[in-house]
Amino acid sequence: MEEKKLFWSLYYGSRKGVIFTLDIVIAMMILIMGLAVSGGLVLKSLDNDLDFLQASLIGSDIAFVLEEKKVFDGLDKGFINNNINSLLLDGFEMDYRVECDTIVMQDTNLPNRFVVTGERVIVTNDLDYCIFRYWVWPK
Amino acid sequence: MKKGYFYTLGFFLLVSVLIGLAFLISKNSLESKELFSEISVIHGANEIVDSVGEGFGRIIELKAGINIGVSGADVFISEDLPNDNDGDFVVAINDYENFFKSGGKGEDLGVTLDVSTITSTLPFKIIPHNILYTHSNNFGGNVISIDASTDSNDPKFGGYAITVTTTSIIGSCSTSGSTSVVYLKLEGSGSSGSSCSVGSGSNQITIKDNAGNTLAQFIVSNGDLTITAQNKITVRVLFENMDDLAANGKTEVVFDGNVITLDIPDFNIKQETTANIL
Repeated sequence: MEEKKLFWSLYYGSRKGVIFTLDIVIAMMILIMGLAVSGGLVLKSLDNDLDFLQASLIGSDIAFVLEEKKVFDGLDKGFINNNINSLLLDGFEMDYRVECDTIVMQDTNLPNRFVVTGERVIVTNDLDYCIFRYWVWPK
Repeated sequence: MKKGYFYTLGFFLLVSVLIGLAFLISKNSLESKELFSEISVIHGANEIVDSVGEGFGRIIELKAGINIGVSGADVFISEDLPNDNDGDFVVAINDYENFFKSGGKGEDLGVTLDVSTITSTLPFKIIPHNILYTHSNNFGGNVISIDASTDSNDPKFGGYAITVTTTSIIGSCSTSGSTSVVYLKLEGSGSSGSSCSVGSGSNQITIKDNAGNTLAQFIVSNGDLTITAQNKITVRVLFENMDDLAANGKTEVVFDGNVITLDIPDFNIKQETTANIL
């Protein structure tokens, strides 16, 4: 027994040191795991909610302005596109679809990710009753 | 031995605090996401309702031959009396209603319109004073009734300034009675340069042509105005000096009564409202 004790002391120096090192390794592992879990949760929380809220407001504001400016009169796709481009903020993209009884026009190239959507009823000067559906997302 | 134990315990506590804070942030974020979703749904619902109201306003502008506007503390409504646009207007309104019905392009919006009063008396309400402007013999008839619901101690506006245009030759504008709660003024212009003008001071004015035939009659009683046209005129009713309008800028003209119902069961949204047309 005494020989064994001596062997350990000679080979590792001191058992205190071994246990102390193991403690640190375990503690560091716990710390790293904790940091990873915390970091993941925090990063997930920062998942640009504000961008999407802003996109939602931008979309509805643009739809409102287009209607107030009577941009849909004549249902001219080029005219609608020009007006949207002049109103849309940098950093955002917008697609739309206008559905009337006889005419359906669209400019859609939606990305494969979360986008904000909205819709608005519009009445043109020719009394076409239409739905303006739009999608907005941060670039 | 004890030192290592405390190090481990210290790290463990530190990590527990970090994870706890991260969970709080994550939970808060999830709640924000839910709130954002709710705001988006409510915002979307309001956008639909507002746009349906704007649609009504557009139909009135294009088909009813009625012009409504606000200028400072004054609000005006003008139209022909009798109004010959009734037929086209009713067709347009019925088409608009059908747009939201089954088979219409707008059926998936969850909107239902009640256009019964719009196609009959076409009543407008001026907010914030709840002044009711209606066509008592149905839109297209020859009578406009204005229920101002004025309080003699606190009238909501100064009075009515009427402008009448006619293709007849105006012979006279006769007056009777005296100003009560609100005043009544009138400017008339007819063909061949004929005209008449009546300042405040009476509560009843009758316009006659040069042959003595009555063209129209204007009577104010307890602040309410009734306009009856015997011949075709264009009449512009100006509500002058309305309280608060210039100050708070919240003037609205809406239909009297709820005309729009929005029902989106998936989001538990049911909303009945009038249409804001100005």
